[in-house]
This record gives sequence, structure tokens and C-alpha cells, in this order.
Amino acid sequence: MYDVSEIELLEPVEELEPGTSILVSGPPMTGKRKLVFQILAEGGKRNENSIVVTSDRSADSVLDDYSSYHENLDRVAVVDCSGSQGPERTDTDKVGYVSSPADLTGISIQVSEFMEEFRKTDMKLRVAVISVSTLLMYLDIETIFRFLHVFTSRIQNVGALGVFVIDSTSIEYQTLSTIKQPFDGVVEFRDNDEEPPELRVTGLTPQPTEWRHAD
Amino acid sequence: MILDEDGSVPDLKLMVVDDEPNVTDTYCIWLEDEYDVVPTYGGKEALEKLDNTVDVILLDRRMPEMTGDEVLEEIQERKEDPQVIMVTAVKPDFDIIGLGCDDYLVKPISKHELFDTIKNVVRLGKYSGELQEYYTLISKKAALESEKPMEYLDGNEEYQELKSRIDTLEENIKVASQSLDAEGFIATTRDLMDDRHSYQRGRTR
Repeated sequence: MYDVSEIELLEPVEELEPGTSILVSGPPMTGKRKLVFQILAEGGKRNENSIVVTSDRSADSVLDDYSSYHENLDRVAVVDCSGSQGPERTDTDKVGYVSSPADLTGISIQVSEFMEEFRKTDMKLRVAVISVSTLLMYLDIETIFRFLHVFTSRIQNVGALGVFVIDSTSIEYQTLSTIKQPFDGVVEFRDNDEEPPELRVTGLTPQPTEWRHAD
Repeated sequence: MILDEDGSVPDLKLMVVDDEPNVTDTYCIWLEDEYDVVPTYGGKEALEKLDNTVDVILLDRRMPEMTGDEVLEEIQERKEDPQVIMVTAVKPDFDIIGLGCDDYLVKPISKHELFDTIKNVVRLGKYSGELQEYYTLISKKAALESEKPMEYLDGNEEYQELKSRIDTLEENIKVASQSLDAEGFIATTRDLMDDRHSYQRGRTR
């Protein structure tokens, strides 16, 4: 089981079964990214491994963000497809580069390499994709839908925990409901005028939670 | 491709490519009981004999006249779309799947491994095709639901058929995805990217 009991945003969810994938959706600046790093860092504290696929920021910026939640970066690998480092950047132990968010094959290769590497350590693995919205800027919805299906299946087969982020304002409502399909659960954020943003959790508890403040 | 009820593959045509005649012939003897086999003894001969009736190619990577990688590259550019199992002397990187083969076998190969891998790539191809159909159908269903009232759809035969086809596909996809390994993940991703390219080519034509 993946322990998430320390994460207030996910209450009342205490733990998630191996193989679970969740979608974190909402407008910009509502706390999606924070939630993802909290989920990864909870793993880090338990000596679990993390793989972050980043399409909108550089690997350095991801590692920087991660370290403010959990200092030890030994068990974190990043697949950087943001293109921010130029095409010639060479892979390191912990960072694999893919030329563009449109190169899903490249992403699947890098993710598989880190997965195999981490599986040797026999520790659990949390995988984050930040974000699906960037992939949708480059590729059509059908391609992304199929990719998410295959990716979450792979996560399920290795017993990992998957967390995928999407900016809900970047796509139509119908697209979002299609994108949700391959996921076991969804954490939805929404803006709330002057008040702090709100969130609710669906699919991870017997009943969806009520909307509540996300601070 | 349609599987028989017992999960075996009917009328599958397999091409074997190896520059050592006794290797090609050995594989063919193993395979001919279950499949229609085409023995070839080099890359050029294989490419000449390749047509769209060939479902799976067992391709040796290290051949003197034309390497397996070169054969693979040419297959990628042609309209035939067989599934390719590369036979290598050492365990390759995942990159090899990105280049266009669907799986690989490391020499020496046992008969059992060979049959397993063939079944695996055929299952993978079927999974990939079903995933594509699944997307098409759920989009169609969502469109119908947004256009027509539910009372109308409940009595609509086309809509009911759509729903039951979606249920069947969902079940098949679920079962198939349970055996998705790292190679299968990469091969299926490459496959969906290839579909996208052919779609775009079709659209601009």
C-alpha cells in the first residue's frame, strides 16, 4: 500500500493500492503541483522511488521543487521532455532527456529504463506526469488518450502509484471527461472567487468527498 | 486480427530471416506445425518476399549482407505493417523497440520462448488495435449523448449496439493490458505515434 495519510489535501484517503493512478485536475495556481510533490515526498520519506515526467519545466527546477518537500534526492529520477535544455543535453544517472513533449515513444523508453533500474532496488515507486496539458498542446486527444491508457496500465503492472496533472482550463469539458477515463480516481481543484480554492476527491473513497477548502 | 476461442492464432503467416540456413530451417521446422512459414536467408530476399500477407517477421539482427536494423528501417518506410521480433546475440537497449521492432529474443532461443514471444506480439497488436477502436467508439457515444435525450437513446438500436461493443472492448483491453511489459509499453506507444503520422499524411493528401 502507498501511504498518503499525512497529506491533508487527500483526506480521508489514508493509503492507495499498488497500481493506482490518479488525475489531479484544476485551474492554474490552485495547488495541483503542491499536491503532487507532497505525494512524491511522502514516498521519499519511506525510501520509495520517484519518477517525474516533466514537460513544462526543466529537470533542475523539478529537483529543486522536490527538495523543498524532501531533501534527499537519491531516489528521484526525472524524465525531462520540456526541451528547455536543448537537444544535445546528455542523460545522467538521474535525468533522462527527451527532445520534445511530442515524442511519446522517447518518454516511454526513458520511463521504462528508470522503472527497470528502480525495480532492482525492490522498493515502491511513485510516478508523476507534470503535465498532461503540455502533451495536449502538441498532440491530439486520441493519441494522448491511448498513451494515458497504456501508461497507466504499465503503472498498474509494476504496482506503482501514478499521479498525472492536467490544467482543466486548457481543454474542453468533454475532453476532460474522456481524459479521466483511464484513471482510478480524480482530485479536482476549482477556483472559488475571493476564497481559497476548493477541492474534492472522487473514485478513491466509496463516495466522492464534498467540495472543501484546499488550503 | 481475430483469435480463436482457445487463444491460438489462426492462419498466421510468419517470415523467418537468418543468414545461416540451418538456423532459418530450424525455426521453420519448429513453427510450421502451427503457422504458415516463409523461410528467407538474408535481408534482401526477405524484403523482396515481404507482402501484406506476412503477419510476423522473425529477424536476425547480425547479418553480413544487410543487417536486421537496416531491414527494419526499410520495413518502417513501406506500407506493409508486419510485427517484428528481432533476434539478437546480446540483450539490447529499449531503444531497439523505439526503432520499430515489437519485441526481441536473445540467442540461443528455445522453441518455447519463440512460441511465447510470437503469441505476445500478436496479442500486443490486437490490444493496440482495440485501444484505437475503443477511443473511436467512446467519442461517438459521448457525441450521441450530448446530442440526443436519454429517453431516445434507450430505445435506439445503434446506441445500444455501440454500448455493448464498448463493454466487450473494455473487457478485452483490460485483460490484454495485464500482460503489458516494458517492451509492450514502448511498442504500443510507438504504434499509436505511427498511427498519428499516417493519419496526418492522409489528411494533407
